[in-house]
Amino acid sequence: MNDDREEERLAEREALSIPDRADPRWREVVAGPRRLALESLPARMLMTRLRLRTTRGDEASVQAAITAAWEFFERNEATTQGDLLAIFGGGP
Amino acid sequence: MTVAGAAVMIAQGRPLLVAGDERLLRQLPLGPWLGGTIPYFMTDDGGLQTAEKVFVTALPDACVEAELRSYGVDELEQLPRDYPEHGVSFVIMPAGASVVTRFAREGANWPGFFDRPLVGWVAGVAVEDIGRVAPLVFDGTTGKSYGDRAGVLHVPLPRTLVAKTEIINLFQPGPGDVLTFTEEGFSAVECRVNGQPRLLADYLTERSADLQWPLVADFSGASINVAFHAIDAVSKRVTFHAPVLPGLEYRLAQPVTDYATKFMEEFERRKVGPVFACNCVFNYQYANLKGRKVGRATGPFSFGEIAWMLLNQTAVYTTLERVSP
Repeated sequence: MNDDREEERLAEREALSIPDRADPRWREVVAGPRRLALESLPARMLMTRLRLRTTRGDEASVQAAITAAWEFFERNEATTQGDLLAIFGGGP
Repeated sequence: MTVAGAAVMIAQGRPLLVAGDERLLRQLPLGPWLGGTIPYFMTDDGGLQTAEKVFVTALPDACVEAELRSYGVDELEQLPRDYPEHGVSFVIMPAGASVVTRFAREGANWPGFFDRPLVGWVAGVAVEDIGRVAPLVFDGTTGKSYGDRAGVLHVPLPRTLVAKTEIINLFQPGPGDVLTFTEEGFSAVECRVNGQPRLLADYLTERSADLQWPLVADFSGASINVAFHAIDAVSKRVTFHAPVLPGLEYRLAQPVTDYATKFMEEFERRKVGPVFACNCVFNYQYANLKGRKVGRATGPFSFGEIAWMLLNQTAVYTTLERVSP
């Protein structure tokens, strides 16, 4: 029972950690077709803006958006847990 | 509150935000307060227009210090670099100034812009004085007023408090056409309607669109408005109170009735007690909020609301929440 709970806790922690900047899921987040439904207002505003920038389709725009998104979540990990869960849900 | 009452609070040394008529703001003593001109207020007794009282937002006792800075249009990019390490920044800008335009168009691109709560409002004047009287921002530490600078009160918070900024937007996108734009800006001549090129002015005229209802776009779960300003029948240029963004899908808003009740219900549902709030002067005007309460929020009605972005026809508020350090 306790082991199960510990496993759940570990799984949850894993799911909420910020993926490495090179993780391919970031590309989906900033340039993929999936509509994002985020929790915090700054994340909603920033991610919408970043996704608009990638509609130009060039790789430089996508990479810049990935960097900006990753840096935002890295700096604001404590206040954006709900957003990370919404974006990366089940973890890697 | 009277000028004398505000002066007493200023003498206590706590950082304050003050909204009111220029004549009253000029009478206040020096101190750590940031002010902006406006004669419209959400009060405990309902919406009020007055040039005889000021509205004072006093921050909680935990906010013992603050740094007040002003930024010219060429200095705005510095703003997020001045954010407190842990805290909240309150901003007031004068309506019609180039700082508002640059902030609205470029702010989101500045590194670290979204890293701390940035909340505030755009100062204005009585509607009948638009074009005759200039909106102003006041730096209480110097007594100077500005018609072309943004004033910002950077407030560090103890680690036991976290500031959260949210919005209440009563408008939802309607079920109709999707409007998109190819260029960012406070005005547009052309747009696409469901992908087809159109003159926006013609489209709005054909639809008999009521310009009281804004354009609404979905920002990853948040409905964000762009309010209409006017249609120039000759040039066919449609002007807005906030910039439209290229590629974003907008829809005309569904009409809203009984703003006051809906604001009240939403504040009750969220069970929040804001330390700061503002609301759009269009909500005051269009919904005739004079004498009507709009929930737990009190503060100025403004010529634009700021929650990072420049917002329109929206209520903005900030709460302080206790957390384990």
